[in-house]
Amino acid sequence: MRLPHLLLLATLACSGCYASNVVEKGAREVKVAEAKVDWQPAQAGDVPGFYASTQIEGEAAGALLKAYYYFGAEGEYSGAAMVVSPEGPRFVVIEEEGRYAFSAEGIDLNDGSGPVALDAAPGRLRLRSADTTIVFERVELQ
Amino acid sequence: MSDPAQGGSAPAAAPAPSRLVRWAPTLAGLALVGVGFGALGVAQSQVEITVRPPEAPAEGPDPLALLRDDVATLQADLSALSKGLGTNLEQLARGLDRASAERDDEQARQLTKLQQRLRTLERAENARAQRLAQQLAALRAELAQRGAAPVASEETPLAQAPAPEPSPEPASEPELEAASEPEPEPAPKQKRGLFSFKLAGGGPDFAQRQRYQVIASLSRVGFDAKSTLHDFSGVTSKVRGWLTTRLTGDDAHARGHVEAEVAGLKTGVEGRDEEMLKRLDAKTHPKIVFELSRLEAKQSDAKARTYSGLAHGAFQIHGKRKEVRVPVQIEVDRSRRLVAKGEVGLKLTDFGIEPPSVAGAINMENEIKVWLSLRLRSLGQAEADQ
Repeated sequence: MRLPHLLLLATLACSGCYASNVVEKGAREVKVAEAKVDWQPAQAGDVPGFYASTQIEGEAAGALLKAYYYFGAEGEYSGAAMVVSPEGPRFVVIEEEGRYAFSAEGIDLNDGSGPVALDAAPGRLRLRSADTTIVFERVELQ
Repeated sequence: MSDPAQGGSAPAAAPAPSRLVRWAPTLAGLALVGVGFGALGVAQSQVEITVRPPEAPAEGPDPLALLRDDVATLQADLSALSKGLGTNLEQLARGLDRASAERDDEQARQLTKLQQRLRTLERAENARAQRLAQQLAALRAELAQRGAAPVASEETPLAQAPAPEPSPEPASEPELEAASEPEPEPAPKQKRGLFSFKLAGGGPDFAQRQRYQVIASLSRVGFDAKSTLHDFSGVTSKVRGWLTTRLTGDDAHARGHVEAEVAGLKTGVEGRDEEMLKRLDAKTHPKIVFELSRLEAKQSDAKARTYSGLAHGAFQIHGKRKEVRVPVQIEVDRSRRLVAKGEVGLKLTDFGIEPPSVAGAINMENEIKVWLSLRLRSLGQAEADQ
């Protein structure tokens, strides 16, 4: 058997070893797999704790880059967020005394916006307004 | 006492009254009788007494009937007055009840406000006391370090200060003085913004020149290649970059920079990755860079926030630079991030890279397709056009 024949045979044999692994055009985008979370309407006992946002969707997502909340057991709360301001990203802090309260519609942060829906899952909270959803994970304060 | 019969002389005997003195009363009585008779005589001559029959009644209305009428009128007036008085008293009682209820409500509201204010002040006071205690402790520590005299230890540490007295139970009747004070206007609830944060716009605004930053964890850069054996891709998420542009049309001032780590490229076959790094000389040229110099729009919709066009710029690979035009599509995702996609065909030989070949039988094609799939976060308005 001559060399060209051997090379052709080797090529044909090897072509079965490696499958094509081209990334499809539609698969180039990074997909973030959303964890399946069993959200339930939050109860008062779910809330106290310190939380950091992990996902922000909706109208406010363009300006709100990251949010942190501390909810106390006696209805007090505080928060800080990294927002996009005309001068660029800046931290803003809730300076006024924050008081939250539950109602049938969810949680009222007493910020003049009215109550927003609040869901809870183990170690997580989810705030939902008409056009924005923020998912938080509980962070242990050490 | 001495007995007059036994000692002293006897008194002298009184002289007997005269006859004239004994008859004087009788004579005076007779004189008075005489004077009376004389006066009677004089009176009879001066006084005349006439006796007439009673006069006949006068002509006119019966006074008794008039009196009855008057009494009836008075009774009617009195009845109306009594009725009116009863109605007024009833209204007055209702008004007083209502005013009392309103006053009670108002006082309860004021009381609630005062209690809330008191709790706020208590919390603020506790926080201030804690801060002061910390400052005091820090000062003590500093003084101790400097070897100065210790701060008087008998001072009550602020941290151990007794908690403020609990707010007294509200009296059933709040002081009238407090209730009569003009009630302060309730402060309007301040609208702080969504979830208590003030958000000034934000997100991609195509009509505005904005700065965008590549989100590495949500971006990928890669290439597709063809060979005799099979086609394959190389991909990396080790991407950094930024973009400044306005997406409403052609933008000669658009600037951008995207770089990917060569060492981060993976094709799925370890031996091939090693060969690729050698050919790209990753140690000398660790990055693949794309520099954007302008944008040429083919379609742009600021309202729908979509854009497509050509990104004019240059790729720098293996230390070689080549001007290119990359077709791009830009849109916005539901988290208000810019999604930019583009791909362009490049020849390896243009960058000084010889396509791999095994014994002349297994060959990789010279042309590869380089693609970018980026997500960028708007960081707000950029400076004006240069």
